[in-house]
Amino acid sequence: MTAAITLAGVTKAYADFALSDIDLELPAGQVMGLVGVNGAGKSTLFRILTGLIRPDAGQVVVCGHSLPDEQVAAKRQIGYASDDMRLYKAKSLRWHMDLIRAAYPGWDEAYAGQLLQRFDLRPNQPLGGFSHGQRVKALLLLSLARHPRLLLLDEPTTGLDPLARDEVLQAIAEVLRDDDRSVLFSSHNTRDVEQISDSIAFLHRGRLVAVQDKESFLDHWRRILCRGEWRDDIAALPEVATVRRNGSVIELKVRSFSEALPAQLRQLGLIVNDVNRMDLEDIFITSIRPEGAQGVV
Amino acid sequence: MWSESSLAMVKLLVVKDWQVYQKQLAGYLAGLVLALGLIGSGSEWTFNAGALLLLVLLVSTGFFAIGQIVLNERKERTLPFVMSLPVTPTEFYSAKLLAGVLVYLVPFLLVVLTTTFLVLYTALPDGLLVYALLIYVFMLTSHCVALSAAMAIESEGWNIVVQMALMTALSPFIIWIGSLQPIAANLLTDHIVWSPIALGVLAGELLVVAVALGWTQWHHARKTSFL
Repeated sequence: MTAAITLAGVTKAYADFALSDIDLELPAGQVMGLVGVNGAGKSTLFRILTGLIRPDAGQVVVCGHSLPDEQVAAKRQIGYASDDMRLYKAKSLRWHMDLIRAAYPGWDEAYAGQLLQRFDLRPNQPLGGFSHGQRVKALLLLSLARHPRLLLLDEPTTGLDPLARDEVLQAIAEVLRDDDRSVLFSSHNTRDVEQISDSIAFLHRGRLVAVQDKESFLDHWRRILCRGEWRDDIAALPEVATVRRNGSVIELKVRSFSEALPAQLRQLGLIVNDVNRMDLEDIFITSIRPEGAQGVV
Repeated sequence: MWSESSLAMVKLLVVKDWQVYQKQLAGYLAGLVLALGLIGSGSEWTFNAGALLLLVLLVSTGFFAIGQIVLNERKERTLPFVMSLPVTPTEFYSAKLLAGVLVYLVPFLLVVLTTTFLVLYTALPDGLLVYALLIYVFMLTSHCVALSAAMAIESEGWNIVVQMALMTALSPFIIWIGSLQPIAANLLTDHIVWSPIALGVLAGELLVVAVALGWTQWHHARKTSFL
């Protein structure tokens, strides 16, 4: 099956920022969560994927179509919604639905009706009267109701209340019942990413810091609490990502945990008190810190 | 050559822009009808008041249309939504240009046709027709130049500068063509005289329209991405 997204060596430079050498693949039927801080380049990446921006170098293939030359064919397969996207305030949701229906032959009016009910949206109300959450759901409805092969969602849950967030995540998860359909979504909220993603990519300062399936991330990272006298060769261990020390208490965050590591630490004179799994937020923050970062409290 | 689907998308976008703007356009049209009524009502002061109102409304209609159709898309952040539709940059910008011209042609044609009727079938001197049409085409020209500028320049401030400059040029233009001997000589007569000078002015105006729109279409046709 054709991959939903293939990026090879994609680069885009601006005066104060550059997206550099992005290699990324999203297999068909999978969900990938893109995690990054503000200004990491997530929105730039999404705009490249929708043909809004032409990269300076590299290849972009979306749903089997090369961008930006085949962007019309690609955009027919893409449902795109971003946090900074707005609809026409003076027009109703019904007007927007009619516009999308005219542009996309695959529009499913019955499914759109179901989504209207589920999201509790009033189709004849002008968009100017919608709250932020309602607007996000309206954008999602306009994308979902035409059954796109690929959903690109740039921060779909930002600023939503817990109920709206849950509704949006459920709607996204429903897309995945179709094995052919794929989702790439970005979020600050690593809990959302952890909840529905098959794979995760970390983007920082325009570079992909890490790309792995979710289970590998969660399996390979550990936080190890130790006691003992500090030695420089502890930080030199290849598995160690960051170190924090507070007197004789040493906290290590390790990226490639193995059952042999605690024994290695004991050989270095440390007493291993605790080994804990890390959550995705912690893994992300640790990943983007400078290599071997040390903190002394 | 454009495919059937390309033409369908351009048409959809033009209709979209029309629907976004149509309520405000209706308001402007009502004002223009009032102005034309004043012009044709017979007395000198209503004629002058109507003429002034007409010029102000024609200018405002055009600049408001440009604001709604072009500038507001960036300001209101609806641009990503529209650009994510299955359109190429060329189709998108062509539709913008077409919508920007067509939306203005509605009030423009209303004014031209009604003025022609008023001049020919009321007590107004027929010689006024050439003078009026040259002014109206100047305003159409200004609109097309302002539209081209709005599609090229993202800055709202600079667009306001362009619009102010074009608006300011209207008064000197009216004075200038009113001073041209072949036009001035027939202004208050019942002779409609398209002198070589009048035709030359008209041709110059239409040339500017063609250059402004042609350059804009050519410039945006070369774009391979929207941003």
